[in-house]
Amino acid sequence: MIIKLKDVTKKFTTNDLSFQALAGITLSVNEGEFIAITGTSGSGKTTLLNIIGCLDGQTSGEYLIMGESVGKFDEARKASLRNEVFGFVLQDFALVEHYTVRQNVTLPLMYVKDKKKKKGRENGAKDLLAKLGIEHKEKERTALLSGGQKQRVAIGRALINEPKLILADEPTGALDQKTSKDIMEVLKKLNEEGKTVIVVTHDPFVANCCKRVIQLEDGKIVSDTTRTA
Amino acid sequence: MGLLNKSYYIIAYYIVVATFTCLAFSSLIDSYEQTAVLPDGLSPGSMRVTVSMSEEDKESSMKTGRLIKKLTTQSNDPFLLYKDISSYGKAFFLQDHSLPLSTANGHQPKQGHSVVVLDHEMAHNIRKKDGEKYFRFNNRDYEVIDFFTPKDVGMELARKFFITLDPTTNVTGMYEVDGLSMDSVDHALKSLQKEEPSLKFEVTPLRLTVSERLEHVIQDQLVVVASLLVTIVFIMMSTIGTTTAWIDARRDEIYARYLVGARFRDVRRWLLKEYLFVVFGSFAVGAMCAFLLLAVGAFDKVVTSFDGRGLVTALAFCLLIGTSTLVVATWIDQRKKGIIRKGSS
Amino acid sequence: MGNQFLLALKDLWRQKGQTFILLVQIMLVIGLIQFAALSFIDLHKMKEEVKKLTSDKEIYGLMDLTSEKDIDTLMNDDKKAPVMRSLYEFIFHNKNFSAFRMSSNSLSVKDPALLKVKGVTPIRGQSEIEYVMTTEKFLDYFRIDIAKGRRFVAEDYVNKKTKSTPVLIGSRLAQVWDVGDIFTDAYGDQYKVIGILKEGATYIDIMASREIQQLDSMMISPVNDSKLQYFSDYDDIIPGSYIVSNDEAVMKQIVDYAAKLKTYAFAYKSMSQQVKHVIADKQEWIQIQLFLLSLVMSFTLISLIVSLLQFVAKNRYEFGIHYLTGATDKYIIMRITFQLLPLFIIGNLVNFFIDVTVMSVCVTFLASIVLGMLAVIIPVMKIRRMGLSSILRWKIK
Ligand SMILES: Nc1ncnc2c1ncn2[C@@H]1O[C@H](COP(=O)(O)OP(=O)(O)OP(=O)(O)O)[C@@H](O)[C@H]1O
Ligand SMILES: [Mg+2]
Repeated sequence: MIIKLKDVTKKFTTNDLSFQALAGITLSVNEGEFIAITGTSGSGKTTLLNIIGCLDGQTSGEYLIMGESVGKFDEARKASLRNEVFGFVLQDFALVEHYTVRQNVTLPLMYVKDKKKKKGRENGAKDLLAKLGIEHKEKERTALLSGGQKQRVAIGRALINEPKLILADEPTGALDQKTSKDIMEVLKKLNEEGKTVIVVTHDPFVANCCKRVIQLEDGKIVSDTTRTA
Repeated sequence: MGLLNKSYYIIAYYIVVATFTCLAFSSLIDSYEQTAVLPDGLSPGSMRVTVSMSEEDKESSMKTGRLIKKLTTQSNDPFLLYKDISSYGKAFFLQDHSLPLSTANGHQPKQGHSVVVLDHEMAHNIRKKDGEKYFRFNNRDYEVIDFFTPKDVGMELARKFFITLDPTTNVTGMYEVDGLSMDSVDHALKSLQKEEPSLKFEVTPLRLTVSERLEHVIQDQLVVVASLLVTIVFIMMSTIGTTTAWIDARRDEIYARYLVGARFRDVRRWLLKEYLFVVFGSFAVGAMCAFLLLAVGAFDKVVTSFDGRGLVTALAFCLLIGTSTLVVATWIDQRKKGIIRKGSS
Repeated sequence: MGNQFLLALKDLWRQKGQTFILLVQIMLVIGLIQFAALSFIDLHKMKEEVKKLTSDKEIYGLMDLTSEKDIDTLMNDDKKAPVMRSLYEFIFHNKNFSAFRMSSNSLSVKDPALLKVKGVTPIRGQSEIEYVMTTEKFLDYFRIDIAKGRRFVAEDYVNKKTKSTPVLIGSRLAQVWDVGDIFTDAYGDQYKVIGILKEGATYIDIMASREIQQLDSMMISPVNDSKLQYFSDYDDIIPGSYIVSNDEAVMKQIVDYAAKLKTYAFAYKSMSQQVKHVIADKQEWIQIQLFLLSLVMSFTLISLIVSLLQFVAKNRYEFGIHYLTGATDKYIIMRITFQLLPLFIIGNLVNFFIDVTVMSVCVTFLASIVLGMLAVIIPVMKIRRMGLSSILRWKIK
């Protein structure tokens, strides 16, 4: 079991107004799963994914990664999890627009401590770009790319450190159908290669690609179905 | 509150500017006032009289006593006459006039005695004879009647001793006359010249003209003037960027105004109003800082008193700088990005 | 770390204009700190110097009250020279007290090697060397030691025969001449080096100036009794002489004797009294420097903080991405700090254009570190307060 959440809640407090975004989430994710999280807007999907990705902390409940409680981790440990264990793919791509494609993809290597690993992955960047079909854009400024290409760059960046888990928040939200399909193909292939993938989405098509679909409503899991096909 | 939140940086800059301009202008105005004060207690109506021979190396037989005689017959007014006798001292003649030095005991010279009023620091130069104190100068003993603490005035070196004028010395030299009109001094000198035609004289008022006074202020306060110039340069360098950012932060407000029919001119006028409001507020804080700095005597050798006129000048200076900065910043912004779309102004 | 440094350099390059302005401001600040530090050190040194000099005996200076007209008369009176001689003898060869005199002047020497010596002024291919003409006690009272060669001996002050004037040279001039060397000035007068001063020798002519004079690039030559002939020769020496004695009465004797000889009208002043004025002057000057410094410094500090805060605001999203891929606060703070580093390093280069001391460089260096830290604190706090998930949620560009 790679991830386990026990009764996790999240409360946002701004200007004395508090808002319960997650109200008791209990969830386990096994290695190699391909999960879609769906739900209406504001149901807490992004919030849940941020907690899973250690971008944000929970208000109460327990969160275990590979059996260890995240609550005990310090900032540096969480950062290294983001660096080596998770790969993020976000709706608005989260790329530094004035960097080149290569600079964006190799950005996580900047925070890798192990020199040898770093070197090897740097050399592997070209193959990775080829695999994603954007090797010809390597030296291009990211700002000049199309949406689909940008998302491939983001995926490339998510993969460079060979993470166990890919966390994607509406990866196809800003893309047209054809491109969405391509991106989902890429994620599917990654899952087949053994990576665990969690995708947050509205899109029924995207959800259909996944083996397990979790539905959120008002910060609670209302259904959790696993297709057997 | 919204305006305040967006204006922190500008406020910080202008507080510094205000603090320093308040101090600087106070100091400048103080220094300007000082240039009106004449050395050795002379009043503003005093004049300098230079008596010399028209032929350089000829000696005049005329004595100073003659000049005094002429002056006293010319007018019944009380007057004071100083004669330069050394770079450290002057000789005085008093006609119903008191010696205008703030002495320790307020003793005035007695008529007909050779006396001296000394700088405190010269005290060790006196000798005692029959219980009286004397100061020796040019082989003569002068009775010490009192002491004073000299004040440096303008560019003049403070004098260290004042002795009774000896009327038997040669008439040529430099004098200062206080208490008589220019005319009567002129008449006196003219009639002196009739007795000895080779005598030459020149009378000039001691009071400086405004431009001379300004010149003195600039010389005297060079560093303060320099720091004002530095302020202007720095303000221009640092605040234009910050002001542009300030305008940027308000782009949506500007756009809203533009949508309801404002022109570039209107927007600029509105921005200027808000900006000057911020500058004014910062100035108030800065002026208080300046006041505090003065109160604790932080720069007591640069500025000593908080001057109302200095405050007003500093405010005018800040508002002027503020206006020009904003005008330049809006102009740059309009050229670079178009504050509102071009052609609409 | 290297990565963050490179990123910081790129950040600086991307906002060249602002970087340049900040650099100018920082250079100004560092220059001013340097000047203020030098003044402080100078003040301290002067206090020490005076304390050293007056520790066992008081020193008095003569004040010349004589009017210009009287001086003119004396100057034109041929009979005055012998009278001046006796006044000179009375002051400088008196059993009851000792006196010394220093008058500084300069001579020009043509020697290409001199052009490289620091502190020697080059003028049209020649070099102006400052020298002090002194009487015997000068070296004693300023505790000036000889590193090599010999001091002046009694006959150096009266010598009538030798063509060359014996001189002691400052330590820097030893690069050019050695003991025994003879050189000629622009007028053809000959000088012979008899000794080299220890490094760091100083003196102060407190009645005439408020500056401590460094002897390292100067020379000392003796007043030669036998060359004093005219009134003007004596007039160069007598009015500015210093008298060392614990008995104030000798000053009155000198004043009286000068008056009796119908020469000068003198008064006198003690060194400890005069030094108060000189110190007050120096303190005023320091305060004026501090006034300017605090203006420039507060401006620079605000500019630095504002520009870093604007940088943080502009690049929030980029920082968010760095956080997302594994950066911690540490790295982002490094990036901010590294932006200031080159500015301060280049800023400290200003020191090369100012005649500095080791001490003042250290002070300036420390001050610039403090300034840099002050500038970084607020932006760093701001970074630490940024919530990662909200940065990415509300994309700000
Ligand atoms: N930092 C925050 N402060 C206050 N409220 C927040 C914060 N982040 C999220 N929320 C609130 O929490 C709720 C859940 O937000 P979340 O982004 O998880 O929804 P979502 O399911 O991802 O919606 P969408 O499909 O529109 O992306 C929303 O109502 C949102 O307003
Ligand atoms: Mg969402």
